[in-house]
Amino acid sequence: MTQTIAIVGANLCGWMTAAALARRLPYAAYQIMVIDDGAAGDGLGDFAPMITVPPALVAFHAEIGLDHAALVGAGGGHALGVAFDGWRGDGSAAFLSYGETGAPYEAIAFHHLVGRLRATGANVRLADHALAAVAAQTGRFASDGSIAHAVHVRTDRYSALLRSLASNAGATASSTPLAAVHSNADGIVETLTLADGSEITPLLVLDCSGSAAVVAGRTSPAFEDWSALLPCDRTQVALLPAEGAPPPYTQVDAQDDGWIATWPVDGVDVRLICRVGGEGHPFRAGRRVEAWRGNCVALGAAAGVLEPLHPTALSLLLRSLARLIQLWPATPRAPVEAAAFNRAGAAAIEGARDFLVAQYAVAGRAGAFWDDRRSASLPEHVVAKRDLFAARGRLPMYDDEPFEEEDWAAMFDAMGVVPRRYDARADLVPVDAIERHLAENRARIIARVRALPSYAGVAA
Amino acid sequence: MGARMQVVIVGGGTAGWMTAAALAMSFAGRLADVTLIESEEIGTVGVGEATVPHIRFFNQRLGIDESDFIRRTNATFKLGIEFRDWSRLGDSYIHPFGDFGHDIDGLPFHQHWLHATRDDARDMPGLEACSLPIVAARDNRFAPPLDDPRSIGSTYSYAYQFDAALYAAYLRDYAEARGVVRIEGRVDAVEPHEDGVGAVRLADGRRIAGDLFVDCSGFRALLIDGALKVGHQDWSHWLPCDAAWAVPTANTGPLTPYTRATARDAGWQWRIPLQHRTGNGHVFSTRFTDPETARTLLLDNLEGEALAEPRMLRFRTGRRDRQWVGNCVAIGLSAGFLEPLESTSIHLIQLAIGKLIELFPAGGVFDPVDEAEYNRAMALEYDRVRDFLVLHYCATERDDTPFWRYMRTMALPSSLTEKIAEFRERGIVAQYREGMFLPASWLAVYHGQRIVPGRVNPLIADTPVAASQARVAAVAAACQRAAASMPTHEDYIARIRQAA
Repeated sequence: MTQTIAIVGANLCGWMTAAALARRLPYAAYQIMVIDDGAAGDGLGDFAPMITVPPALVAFHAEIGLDHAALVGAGGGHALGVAFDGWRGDGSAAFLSYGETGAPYEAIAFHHLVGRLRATGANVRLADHALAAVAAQTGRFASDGSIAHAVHVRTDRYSALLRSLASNAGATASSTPLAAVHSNADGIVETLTLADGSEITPLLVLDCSGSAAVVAGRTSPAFEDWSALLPCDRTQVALLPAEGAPPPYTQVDAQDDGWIATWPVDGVDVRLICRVGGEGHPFRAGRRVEAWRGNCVALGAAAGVLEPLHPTALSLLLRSLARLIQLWPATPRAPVEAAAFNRAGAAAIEGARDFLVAQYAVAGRAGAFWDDRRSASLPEHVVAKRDLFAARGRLPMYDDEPFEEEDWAAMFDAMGVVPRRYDARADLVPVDAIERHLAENRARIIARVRALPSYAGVAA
Repeated sequence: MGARMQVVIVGGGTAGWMTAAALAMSFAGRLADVTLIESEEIGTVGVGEATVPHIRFFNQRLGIDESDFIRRTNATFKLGIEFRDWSRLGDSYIHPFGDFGHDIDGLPFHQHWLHATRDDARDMPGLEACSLPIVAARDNRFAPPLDDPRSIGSTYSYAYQFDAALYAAYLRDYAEARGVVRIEGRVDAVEPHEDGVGAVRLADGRRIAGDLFVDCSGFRALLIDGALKVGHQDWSHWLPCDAAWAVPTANTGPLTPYTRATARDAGWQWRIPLQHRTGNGHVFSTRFTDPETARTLLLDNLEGEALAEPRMLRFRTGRRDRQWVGNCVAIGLSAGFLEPLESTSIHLIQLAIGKLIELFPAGGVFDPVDEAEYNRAMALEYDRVRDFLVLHYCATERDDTPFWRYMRTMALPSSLTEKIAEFRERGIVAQYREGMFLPASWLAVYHGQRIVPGRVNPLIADTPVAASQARVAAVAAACQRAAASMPTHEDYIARIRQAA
């Protein structure tokens, strides 16, 4: 007997879900049906007509056979990192790159070596020791995958590519939108009724309808509001003609009440303002308390929303899909699977939230909005990370959090947090040996960058 | 660089000398001067003669040559632990240091095995046959793993079984050669200083001052408990064994590349083969049996001739509320003890040393943030090891003695109840970032203790059984071939000895 998996939301989130599942579900046993929720949007927060695809998704694209060149298209949209302007108290800019920064020496992490040098009065910038950052600075790039990078892509094109892959793998799209949901008190969706009156009895409903959460909003209404931690609640997008060749990175400028990002996509600069109040698209940071309840699993923005400062929406979705496959249920009622899914999912999105909260809390920019971010009552894990990093450049790490230790260290450093102490083992290496190690590493980076073509050529 | 710190380690033994050797390698003569105080009058407990694979990384960091170490500590190789009679009398399973098969499309091999063996399919290999270290161990063979990640020969790791007193002596030589000063003496009194320890006084009147004190004084916990009065969480309701008789015997039969733990009426018996003798012990709960009965039971169940009179040790399971307080860090039994099942003691020492080096208070800077992180990380480790150990006892069908009836029905830590429920329902094995036991270890014990998942992932269950059966058969055949190409454990060690 064929069981129906109803994906609600014929958008980027829905087709990504369909493409991932179509590859993994036995074709004969499951029918994957993507149902239009009747709303426009990407299911991932609807922040912009484009989205940032982080490096981690490149492997997934290869797995499902998505053509990277077709995805990015002409006109560029590659990002080697993010330039943060105006975040620090000293007014200086900072660059957070994808890929590795520096290299360890005698098993001592790079940023501890830097700590030692800084203690001698040297002025060392981490970005000068990251291949991606130096390439970005000099406007060079390689599209052969030899440098870790993200891409900015148009959501309509991305969604269409995923749709065609999912359709080829057997997923179908309903021709009419969802009209009604019939669920019981345990959150089990018994039937979905479409606009043409046809009824679907699903094994699972995957709610990809974005913040509206047209199904999960009924079956699992409890929502944890994080606006006290992340008060930005409006975004506004402008598409500006790009002047000259696009830079191979994202630009994010701090503002008095939020930030502005500039994402070069396809020959256009997508300018996004994210701030508290004002005009624009409203959103609320937070997460659904039980993303999986009954037989409905909320994915993407239906499960939780974070402002798009870092490209976490797609990586969180991908993690959720991998977890869903691991915990695939046999029957509509699967409380053990749901609990395991929700536990890891909560830790993942909270980890992503904490990264944002921490960045705001350590940014030194002056102003009431920024003062409030610093003096807010912070989550316990943020306090522990901030304090231990400030003390000695180390980071406590927790289960299922999506950012790695190096990501945290790089972010804190970019925001200007200088640890009071560093790994004691760095004191045992002579300063000139560390200087030599850094110089050699930088020489290698510069040699590699010199061999790269100019980005203007790649993006043309 | 600040002034050189004075580090004082109170207590020799495994914990003391491991700490001394690691601090000497990392800091001695440069950031710190290390002094170790021990008394020959006080015996050492010699926690565990069996280890887990992480010990190899500890030795590698110190730059210890494996062959030299094997020869000087009479060490043998260890591929896992055999558990006998734990779930039912007559049962035997091995918890291996390695994987069962390999993940297929992101789904665990174990799920394929469950599917392949549904309806009691005859002629299918058991789960144990899909683990190379188990197949090799059952045949008393050993060879180190291969590097090639595509080879079945890369799917395992190994540890050692060694003479703990010889290991401590080996590390003492290492540490003293690197400037650690050993003081023979008995600590009589501890002088407090602010929130920590200022100095210790020895019985002969000497006063040893320091900046950082490491309490390796074993169960006496002279500093962390005696002086600083840090509380202790008692876990004896979950791990009620509180005593052990230990006795060495002459080797008999083939040299097994694994430790054995045999369940007894009110505890369990260990058997640890070394090159020159076999270590034996009977761990028991005085709530459920008396020492005399326990002693007799041990002597009645020895394979070889006893080489000494049995010695009895007393202990209590639990951990210190905080293992780092002020300028005092407790490492080893003074920090906590979880009984010797699964050979976790030396690993917990090693972890503590690693954390101390990472958070080393160089220049005498004691930051409460460091202390908090150390205590968080170590508490998490102890708690997770505790859950893993309790699993061996609670997941049993035995009800033949009051001890086992208690174990079977006791209230569990909620963190463990949840894990067991997820496995029992559908074979979910918890995965976490920190914690010494990986999913394969949990799986080995769940399976060995006869917890059978009620359901298999439908993405496997809905596929033809034959496909899963072919995968299982292929893995088992590969394990069989790889094991057959290994030398016997005895021959492998003989070669190391001859190479000297």
